[in-house]
Amino acid sequence: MLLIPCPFCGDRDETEFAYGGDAGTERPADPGAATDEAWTDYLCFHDNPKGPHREFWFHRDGCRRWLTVERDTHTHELGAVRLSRP
Amino acid sequence: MADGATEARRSALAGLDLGSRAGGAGGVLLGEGPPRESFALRGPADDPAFARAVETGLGAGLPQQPGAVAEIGADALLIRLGPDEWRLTAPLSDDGRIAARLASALAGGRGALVNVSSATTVIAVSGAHAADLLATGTGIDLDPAAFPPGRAARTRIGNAQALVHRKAEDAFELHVPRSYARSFWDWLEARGREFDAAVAL
Ligand SMILES: [Zn+2]
Repeated sequence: MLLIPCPFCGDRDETEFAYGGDAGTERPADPGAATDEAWTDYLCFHDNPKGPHREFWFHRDGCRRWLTVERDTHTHELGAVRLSRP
Repeated sequence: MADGATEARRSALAGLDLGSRAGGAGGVLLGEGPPRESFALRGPADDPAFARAVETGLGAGLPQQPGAVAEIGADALLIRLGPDEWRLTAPLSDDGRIAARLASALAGGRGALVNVSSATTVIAVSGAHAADLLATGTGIDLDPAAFPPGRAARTRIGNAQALVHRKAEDAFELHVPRSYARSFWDWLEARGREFDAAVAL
């Protein structure tokens, strides 16, 4: 099990969190002007690397904040963890 | 709450008939806690005006550390749960007076207070092995050095989310979602067998 160091709550078990997927995508800045391709890319296509990955985790049973977590998908080693929106 | 006056308060654990099973001594005592009023307080922690409003309304400052608890008069508490979230909880006998004072102090400024009393059931776990029992189902460190009396945390215990308040070294009050109360109670009793758990009078 992962032990995720929440910046607010401290070390907490993975079971307290909900996985939120790839944090590397960026929502089109001007939604009305974005092309279908840009939306499709944002919504549907995500990197699925074996190795370092930046991803969202929701601390559902703790501070109820979204975290941005660096995790190696191969070794499960965790890097920086921060509140997604401070 | 249009029909509030005609609705009888009914515990989520009423069907268990705990009163008839109470008694005996064990390493852990399980019981339904006294019902509480609870309010979700949200506001900007770094806004001095918000902090002043809370202090005006409650006569106590905002607790700063995660899980820190400020005591407000007789058995009312303000607990820090998140970067912009606190929980105000008071005995039923307070009849909403503390929350009303806070609401009027917050009026016109930033901050929101919402009554969430019906969302949770309060369960009391006490006794020499209370921490041992809870530790079988949570990842947080319940050693008194790390989680001393007077502290609180929202975490996961067994099958439910729980707001845990350590009232004394061997006494915990757990606020669990009402819809989980029955199954959480069953979990407590099942884990409690190891510690000769008994139902509190
Ligand atoms: Zn957290």
